[in-house]
Amino acid sequence: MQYVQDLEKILNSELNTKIKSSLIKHNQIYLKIDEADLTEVILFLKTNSKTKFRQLIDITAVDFPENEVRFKLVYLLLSHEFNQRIIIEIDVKEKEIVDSITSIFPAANWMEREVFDMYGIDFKDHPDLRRILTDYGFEGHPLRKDFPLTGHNEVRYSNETKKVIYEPVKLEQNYRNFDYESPWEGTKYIKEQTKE
Amino acid sequence: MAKETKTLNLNFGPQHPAAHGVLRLILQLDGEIVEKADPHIGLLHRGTEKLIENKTYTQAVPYFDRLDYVAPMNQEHAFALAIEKILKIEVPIRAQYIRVMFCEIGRILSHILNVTTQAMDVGALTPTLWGFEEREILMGFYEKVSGSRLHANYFRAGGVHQDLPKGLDREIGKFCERFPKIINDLELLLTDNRIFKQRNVDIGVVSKQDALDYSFSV
Repeated sequence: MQYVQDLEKILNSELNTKIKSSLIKHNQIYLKIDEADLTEVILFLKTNSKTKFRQLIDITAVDFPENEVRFKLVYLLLSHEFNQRIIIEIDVKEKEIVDSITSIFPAANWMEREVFDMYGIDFKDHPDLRRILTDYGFEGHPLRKDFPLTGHNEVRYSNETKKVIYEPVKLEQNYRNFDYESPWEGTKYIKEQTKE
Repeated sequence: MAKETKTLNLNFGPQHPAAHGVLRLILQLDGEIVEKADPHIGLLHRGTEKLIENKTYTQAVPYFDRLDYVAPMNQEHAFALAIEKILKIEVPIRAQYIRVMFCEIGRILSHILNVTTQAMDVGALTPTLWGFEEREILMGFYEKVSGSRLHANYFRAGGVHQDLPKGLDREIGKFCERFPKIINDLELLLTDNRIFKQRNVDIGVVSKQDALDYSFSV
């Protein structure tokens, strides 16, 4: 516990101008920084002898479609030497291009590809920015909140053409949300039906 | 005379028995050496994150079994721990013990599969058969505690679904006494086996720096 506060102090004094805010939650540091300072801060955290965050655990994003600055990019780093993890957050607008950190952490290559695939955030100077998880010829970015849960296309074997074909999704039954208040009273629509 | 070399482009998978699942690799080969590989890893992607966004916490648990079907409860554990961290839930000590015990069982399950199928891929079938006999017993424990051999849906945020059935703890204890002998047997079969060595030594070596750079997490 002691060390987290020390680390926060070190970061705040060394990176003073670059940190928008820092916060300790669940015994971990959350840093908020500007998009422009990203590579510098990450490189500092990796190389500084007091931090030694030498492993990149993950890069991911969160979508807030109601906000003007729509995405939050999240970088998770791990320091083996000090047994510490750090969470770095930057706010990114739609269609804004973020600096790639593949030159600092080679592992960022696939992680940035995933963020690009799932959220449609572009990275500058990325060596190979292609989709990574979705199907060949896929359109849209599935983890955006405005992407429908069912997707747009479905795949099936067509007996007429004797091959696998893509079609717009056709649901045999409407999507049902089983968010019970209690398991024995049933869902809201059942309650409304039985009210009379 | 200079030796003429020619690189060969090969499409591996998505359906290939050695891929143990669906994995497609576009390979550039020089003889038996892989010069370059472009893995297409998305063929198993199900959009778990998107699906659980539309579910309650308890409804989301079964999706985690499917993320790692050789150690399902370990994935459930990660999810349960995350929720407990956010909601500041304290887990009863008995549930903690049960969870750790079943995570260890999951770890043994996945390690048996890993080691023995690696042996199978380089040509030894016996370890797989011996190992899978033990996996069967372990999955029996899974079934006794949750009703299901693989997709357990057993952990909950804040504990587990229900207590251990009577006598299961003894059975697990007995397994623990017997199992080290199986590990010894597997060790005798593999570790000094010259065919196993011939086909594995100096292949796929990862340096410490590479492990850090490429985010190896285990």
